[in-house]
Amino acid sequence: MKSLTCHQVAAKTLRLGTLLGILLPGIALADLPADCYDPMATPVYPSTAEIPSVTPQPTAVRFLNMATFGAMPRDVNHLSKMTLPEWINEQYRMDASCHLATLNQTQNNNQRENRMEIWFRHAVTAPDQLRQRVAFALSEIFVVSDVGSGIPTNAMAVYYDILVRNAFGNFRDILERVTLSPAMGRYLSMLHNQKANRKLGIRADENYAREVMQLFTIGLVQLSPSGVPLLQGGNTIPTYSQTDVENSAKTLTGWSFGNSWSFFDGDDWRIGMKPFEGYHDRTLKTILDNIVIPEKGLAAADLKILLDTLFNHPNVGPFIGRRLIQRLVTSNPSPDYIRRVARKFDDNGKGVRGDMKAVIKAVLLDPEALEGTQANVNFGKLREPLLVLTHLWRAFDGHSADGTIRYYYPDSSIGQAPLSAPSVFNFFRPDFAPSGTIKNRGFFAPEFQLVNDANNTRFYNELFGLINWRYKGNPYTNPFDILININNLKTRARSPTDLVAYLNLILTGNKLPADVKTVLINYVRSIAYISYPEKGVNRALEALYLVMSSPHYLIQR
Amino acid sequence: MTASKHWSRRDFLQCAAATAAGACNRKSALGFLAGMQAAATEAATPDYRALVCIFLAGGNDGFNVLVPTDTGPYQTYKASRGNLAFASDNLLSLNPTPSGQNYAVSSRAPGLQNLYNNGRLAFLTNVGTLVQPTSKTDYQANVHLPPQLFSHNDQSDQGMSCELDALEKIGWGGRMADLLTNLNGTSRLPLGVSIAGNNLFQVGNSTVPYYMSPGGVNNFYVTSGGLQDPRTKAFNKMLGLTLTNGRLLEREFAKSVKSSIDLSQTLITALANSSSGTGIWPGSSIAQQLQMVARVISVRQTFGIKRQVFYVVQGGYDTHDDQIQRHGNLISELSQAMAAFHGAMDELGVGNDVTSFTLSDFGRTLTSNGDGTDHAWGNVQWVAGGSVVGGDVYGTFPDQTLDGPDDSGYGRLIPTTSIEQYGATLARWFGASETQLETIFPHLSRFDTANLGFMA
Repeated sequence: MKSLTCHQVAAKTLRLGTLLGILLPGIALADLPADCYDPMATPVYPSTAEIPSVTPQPTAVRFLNMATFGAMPRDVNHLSKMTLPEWINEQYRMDASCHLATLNQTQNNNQRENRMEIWFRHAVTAPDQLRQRVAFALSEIFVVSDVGSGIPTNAMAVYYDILVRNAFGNFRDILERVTLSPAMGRYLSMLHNQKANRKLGIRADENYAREVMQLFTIGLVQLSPSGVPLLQGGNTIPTYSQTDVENSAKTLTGWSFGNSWSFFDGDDWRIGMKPFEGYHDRTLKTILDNIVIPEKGLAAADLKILLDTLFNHPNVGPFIGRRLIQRLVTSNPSPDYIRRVARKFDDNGKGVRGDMKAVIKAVLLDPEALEGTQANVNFGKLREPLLVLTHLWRAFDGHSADGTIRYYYPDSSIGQAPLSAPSVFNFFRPDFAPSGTIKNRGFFAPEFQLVNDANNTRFYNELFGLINWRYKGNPYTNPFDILININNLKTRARSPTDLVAYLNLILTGNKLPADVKTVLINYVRSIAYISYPEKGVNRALEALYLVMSSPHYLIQR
Repeated sequence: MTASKHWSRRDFLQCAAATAAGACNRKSALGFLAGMQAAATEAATPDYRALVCIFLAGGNDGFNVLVPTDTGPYQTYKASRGNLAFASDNLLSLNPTPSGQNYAVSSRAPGLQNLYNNGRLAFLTNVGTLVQPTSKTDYQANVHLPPQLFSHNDQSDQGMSCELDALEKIGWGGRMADLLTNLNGTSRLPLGVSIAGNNLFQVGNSTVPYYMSPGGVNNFYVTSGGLQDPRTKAFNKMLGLTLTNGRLLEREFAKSVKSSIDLSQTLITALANSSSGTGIWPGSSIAQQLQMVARVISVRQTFGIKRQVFYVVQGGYDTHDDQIQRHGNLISELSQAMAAFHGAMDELGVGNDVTSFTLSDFGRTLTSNGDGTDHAWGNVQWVAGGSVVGGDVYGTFPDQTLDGPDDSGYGRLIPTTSIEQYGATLARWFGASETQLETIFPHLSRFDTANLGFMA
């Protein structure tokens, strides 16, 4: 891929983490955020050992489809020369490809189109794939959206970078940085949330207090370590009451922009929110499990008690564990799988709770993740529309002529755009099940919430256009079009069997059933090898489209 | 459209009866003629009924849409709503209710005011999710309350399903479709049509709605070559194999794609002859969705369809912040969209056959959190259309006194009418029998009436 600039120095220049650490008030941070790569430098991919294969290619493809934005030849080759834990460790050592730093290189860092372009460019080309992929998963758990919220585009990038740079840190830090980010502050109205004022007839805003518990940490009901709701007399046991919400809301009062001089002042979206004690509720507050927040506490001290309480709740491991498994691996993990991940959340083996590195390894290296349907007959998940496009462009090196990936309006073309969910409940809910057999048998399929007649047509047609009309060599394209490189397919197109075998490998890790492969091979054979504008083009495009539109590809297992 | 054209069948009959006594002075002669026309057109399609669910996503602050203006209740309203209270001269007044109470609507809702004053819109209060009739004492003692009160997804799921405790919920629109879909004979178009994507409301045990976008239906490129095209054949064969041999998720996905392809061509052909009337439609998303509903209704005879349930969504009601501005804008859009929609229904001759109604996650706190409101419970909903016995406020308007008998705290009002009673009144008009109502609304028998009387 072509570099955007002439600067070739892969220097680590940004020490924003240190800066943020100073600016976030009164709180000791365990892990500093990862440093950002120099946005002006060409991405550097780790060199690949020239040794015999260690990890079989289909295994590598399957794994990369879970741990990255889609398997691609370079990464498959690279991973095949090492073990899966070695690959993860290599990813853990990398710095972060930060979104704001790249956005700042554009002419306008407040233009949504540029944010979209940079998101796709990072998803498709960033070397720190695992970090980017986990950040995307986190963005679907700690949801902030620019839909209807009025949060500026550059503030969305600042928020996304919190997830990118802390993806391998500690969950407690993620929780705190998310809580104090002005984007989240605006989205769930903790920004400018003030204590009750009888004269004005107002009281504390409950929005963030409720959602931080319901969606970001403990959920609605008490869970066993394997994520199964605990029962008392046949009923589930609530984790919190309306009174807990009201008292937590009071605890979360008093925060404004980090550059404010007075409570309602300020406009700096780059730094964390700061407290104004005059607007903080300093009464005694009792929150869940009878934790008492004593009176006259400062906003930051009160916040610490609340976040510590939530972080240490036994629900967090199974609650967040299940969500990460669903985002990265499978819709219906077994209770044992959840329990194994939750155990790593509770203790990384060295007595540390919330270590994301341990949790991510537990999610991706679990026997159930690695063995798929062999371990759990219901293993698998529907690929999100965004992840299908990133896979297409990774596997076939898709980009515009200048190396950018100008896919500006994914919401209108595929119904999903990063940080643009319709609400804090994301594009889909963890417990969504479409009507029919999935629901009747008590299973979940969150991504199916985006599946319906209108979306099916739109998605299939968009994919059709992106493949059939946007390939290098097509004389009818313009420089902004994202073109895929189908050389790997054209060279195999003389043999329909080879062509289908290659697509089956690089896209599914050899998961197409024999009967489906036969249909594909026969169809490809019926197409003339000689075609315009080059030999093999028609066969390549038709085969690629049919594989990517098959349920056996779109359901990733 | 002038107000006088908005005549319901009820007005027409009342007026016709009254004319004999020389007492029909509410409507102009023009209105009288328009009413006769509407009645005549209606007779041509007596067996068509459609319900349009307008879901106000995020939790609409209904108690700032409908405001009491009699002195006592208004003073209470003003005290409880603090900096969110509308000044009495900043409201649009409604005709007095038949029992003589006075209400007004938000100044941003002239469309709703018109529909109401023309007898084509009714408000319902104080409605919400309930397991059984619930008093403040019950609430305080935690007796049979709906689970997870005040939570967005749980409360909207409960309002859409009326299955408060079930883990695997289906919607009451879906159950209605399950039971009444036989009225549609062999129609290829499902009884439910969603213009706003997947929703629990329309999902039944055996029926799934058809999903379309406000822009209509597009062709599937992959099969556009026709059934004999080699690509179509390969694609269909692949789907077919998945349907027989695939695993659960693959099979269910293939099923959805196959049904989308099968229906798309039928819809495209039918919609080519559709109409949404001659009126001007606003550009808002909710208006565009309702315009699509109008187009589908206009071609109902192509499908031989007798019963339809539509679903549209207007989002953005979770007004924790900046409520006066944001909520006002939303209500303004909605009011314009509903006015355009019911105008079009009259023009298409189905004014009395189509009823729209609102649903929302929950009501909002009467009290202010600074410049917005938080999640609450009881709410105001409204229904519109020619078969609505409009110009009235149904249910019991709550005592809005903070910490009063209807307040569970901070102005979270305890509902006095169940969503199931609300739904049952609509479903009865739609054609559900007594027994079917009990199936569709599992807790209905616990409440004093299954018919709130707002449908003619």
